[in-house]
Amino acid sequence: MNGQGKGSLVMLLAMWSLLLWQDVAAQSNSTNETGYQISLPDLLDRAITLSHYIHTLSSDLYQEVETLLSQDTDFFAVYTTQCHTASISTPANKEQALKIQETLHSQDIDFFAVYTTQCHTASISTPANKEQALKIQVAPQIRNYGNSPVWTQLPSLQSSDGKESLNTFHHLCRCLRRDTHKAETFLRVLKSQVARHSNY
Amino acid sequence: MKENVTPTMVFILLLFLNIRLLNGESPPGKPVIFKCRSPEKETFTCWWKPGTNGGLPTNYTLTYYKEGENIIYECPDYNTSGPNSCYFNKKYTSIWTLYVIRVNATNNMGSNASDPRLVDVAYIVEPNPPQNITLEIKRPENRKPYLWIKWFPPALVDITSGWLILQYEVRLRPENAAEWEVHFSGQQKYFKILSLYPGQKYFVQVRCKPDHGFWSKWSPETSIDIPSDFKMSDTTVWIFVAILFAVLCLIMVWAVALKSYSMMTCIFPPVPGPKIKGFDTHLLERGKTEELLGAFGCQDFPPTSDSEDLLVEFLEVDDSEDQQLMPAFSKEYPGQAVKSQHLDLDNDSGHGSCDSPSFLSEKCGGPWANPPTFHTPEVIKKLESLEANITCTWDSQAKSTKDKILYFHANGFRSSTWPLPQPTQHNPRSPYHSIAEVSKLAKGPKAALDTVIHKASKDALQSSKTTETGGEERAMEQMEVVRFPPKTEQDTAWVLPQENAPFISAKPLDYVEIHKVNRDGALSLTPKQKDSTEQVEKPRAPEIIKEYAKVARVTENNILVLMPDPRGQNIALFEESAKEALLSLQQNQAEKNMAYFTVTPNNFRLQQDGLGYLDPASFMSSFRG
Repeated sequence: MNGQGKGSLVMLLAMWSLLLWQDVAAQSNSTNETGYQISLPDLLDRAITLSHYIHTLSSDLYQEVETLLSQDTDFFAVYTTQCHTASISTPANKEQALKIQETLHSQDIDFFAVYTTQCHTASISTPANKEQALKIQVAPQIRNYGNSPVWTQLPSLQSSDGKESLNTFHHLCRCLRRDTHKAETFLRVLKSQVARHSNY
Repeated sequence: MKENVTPTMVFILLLFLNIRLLNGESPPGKPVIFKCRSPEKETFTCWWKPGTNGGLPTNYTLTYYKEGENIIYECPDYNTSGPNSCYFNKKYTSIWTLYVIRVNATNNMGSNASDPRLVDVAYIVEPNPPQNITLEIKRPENRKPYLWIKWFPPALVDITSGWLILQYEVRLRPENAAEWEVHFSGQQKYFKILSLYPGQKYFVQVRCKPDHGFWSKWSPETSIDIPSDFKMSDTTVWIFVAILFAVLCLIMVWAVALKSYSMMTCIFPPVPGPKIKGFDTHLLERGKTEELLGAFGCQDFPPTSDSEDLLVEFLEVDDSEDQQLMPAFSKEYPGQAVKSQHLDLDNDSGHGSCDSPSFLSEKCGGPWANPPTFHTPEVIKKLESLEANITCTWDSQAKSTKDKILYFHANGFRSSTWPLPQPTQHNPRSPYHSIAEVSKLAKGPKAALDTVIHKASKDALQSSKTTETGGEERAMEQMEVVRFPPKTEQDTAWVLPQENAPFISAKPLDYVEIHKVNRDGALSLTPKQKDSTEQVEKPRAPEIIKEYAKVARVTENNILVLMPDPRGQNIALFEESAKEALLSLQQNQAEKNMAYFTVTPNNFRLQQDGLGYLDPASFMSSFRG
C-alpha cells in the first residue's frame, strides 16, 4: 500500500491546514470584528488549493487501488455500501449546490470538508493505531455540530480476514475520493458566491 | 419400440432447432456500454454497442439503479443523443452518486444483458470544445508584433458559479508544416504567439479540460495569414553586427599579416639555444679534439699518446632518467660494439657504462657464465636487452683495442649482474658474489674471462662515475672495483671477491698512482703496492686489497680523495634493505670512509661534485700546471 502512506501523509498535513483555516474562517465571518488580516476570499483560495491537492492525491490513490484490487474485491461490499459520511446532507446536484448559502450554513461546508478529510485520513493511515482512529480530533466548532457521523469500519479494516480488510480499504478509498471532490466543488462554489456578493 | 421413440423425438427436436439456427436466428449478442460522458457535470449520456442481433429485430433497453436505492429505473431518453444511447437530463442526474447501468438486448429468441457499468457523474466530465476562436495580429508601438488568440468556453459549462473549472490548450502550425506547436494556457482564455514566420498561413485550434476530467475535442481550425512584414527589426540589427564583425576581422588579419614577424616574436619569444662563447660547433662536428680543445685554449690535453695497451674503461654517469637510459642503450648496443662517446662538455651527464675491471668481468662473466641464472624477478624484464648489450660489449673487449673506451651500459650491466648471484644470496647486488658464482659456474669461457681480467687488472681504473639512476645502480657503481692482480690464478682471483665481500672495510690508507688520464678525462689508477698479489692469496688481508670506488674529492694539497668501495659494508646493507636505503647508506658511508690517496706523478686536483663526476676542466688545469 504505497499510496496509502503517501496519500495519508499529505492528507494529514492538509487536514491540519484545513482545521486551521476552518478555525480562522469561522471567526472571520465577521471580518470587521476579529481584525484578521486575511480576507475570506483569500482564505477560500487557500482552502481550494489545499482541497484540490487532497483530491488529486486521493484520486491517484484510488486509481492505484482499483488497478491492484479490483479483481479481488467484492463488488457489493465496495460499491453498494454507503459511505459513513452519507448522513451529512450535501448537495446532490448543481442547483442544490448553488443554494448552499441559503440552505446550509457555510459552516456545514467547513465541517464537511474537514470532517471528511479527518475521518478518511485517520482510517486509512492507522491500521495499527486504534486509539487515534476512534478518537478523532475534531475542532471545537465541529464538535458542536449536530449529529456527527460515527465511523464503524475500523474493526473490519483491521480484521484478520484479508478479504474483508481489503474490501473495507477499497471502499474507504472510494469514499475518500468522492468526499474530497465534493469538498473541493463546494469550496469553489462558495468562493464564487462570496466574490459575487462582495461585489454587490 | 418405446425406447426408439424418445431418441427419435429428441432428434427431431434438435433438427428443428438446428433448422432455425440454420436460418440465422439466434438470441442477440451481448451489448457493451463503451462510453458515458457528461459535458457539464449536470447531465450525462451513455452509449452502447450492440452485439449481433441474431437475425431478428432486437430491442435494447437500459436499466439502472442508484447507490443506496433498491429501485431499478429505465433510461428516460433514448433519442436525444442518437441511436444506441441514453440521455439523462438534469432531473435524473445525481452527482456523487454511483449509477449501476446495464443494457439488455432482447429478440424473439432470447435476451442478453451487458456487464454492469459503474458511473459516477463527477468523474466522467468531458466538455465541448471552446468556441468563438478569434485570431488577430497586434502591433503595439515600439514592441514586437504578435498573434493574439482569443476564445470562449463551451456553451453549456457553468464557469461563473465555480461549478466547473476549465483549463485550455492552444496549438498552431504553419500551412505546410505537419507538426503542431502546442501551448498550455491554464485558465486564461487568450494567448499570445510571438514567433511566427512571416508571409505564411497559420492554423489554430483550442481545447479545454476540467480540472478533474477529460480533454475536449479540438475546436475546428481557424486560419490566419501572417503579413510579410511581420518582423525583421531584429534580423537587420544582426546583419549589421555581422558585417561590422567581418570588417573588424579583416582589418585585424591585415594588420597581423603586415607585422606577423614582430608579433610572433612578441607572442612567442624565441628560445635561446645553448651557446658557449668562442665555441665553434663545427669543430665538434668534425670531431677533432685537438682543435676543439684548442678553441678552449687547452694544450696537450689529453695526451695523445694514448695507451696502446691501456684499455680505458670508465663508467659514465648519465644524468638523465633511468628510463631514458635504458631505451637509449638498448638501441645503441645491438649495433655498436664499441661506443665512443665524447664527454658532453656542456654538462656532466654521461652514459652509464661499466668502467671498472670488476664491472667488466662481472658483466662478462655474467652472461657467459650462466645465462639461465638470470632470473632475478626484479630484472627479468631487462634481461634480453641487457644480454644483448653485454654481448656486444664483450665482443668489443675481445678485440682489445687500445683506445677503445668501452662503455657498458651501466643499467644493463647492473641489471645483468644482479641476477647472477642469485639463489644463494639475499642481496644479489654484490658483484663479487656474482663473480664468485660465475667462477663456479662458468668453466667454459675461462679464457675469455682471463683476458678480461687481465685487461681489467691492467687498467686499474677508477674513475667510476656513479649514475644517478637509482639506488640499485648506485650501489653497483659504488660497488667496488676490484683490482685483479694480473697474475693471480683465476680461481684465486675469483676467490678474492668472496672473501672480500663480507669484510668491513678497515681500509688502510694507501697511495694511488695515476697511470693515465685518457682523452675523456678518465683516470687510470694503479696501486702503488704490487705485492698485493701475495697478500691476496692469504685468506685474510682485506685491508691489502685496495678497493677504490670513486674519487670523492681533491684536497688542497692535490690529494686525491677516493672513496673506498663500500662494498663490504654494503653487503649487509643490501641484504637488509631496499635500494633507496642502500643508496643513502652508501653515500653516507662513502663519505665517512674516505681513503685519502696522494697522487704521485701528477698531483692535481680533481673536482668532484656530489655526483661523482670528474670535471675535465680541473684535469686540464692541473695538467697544465
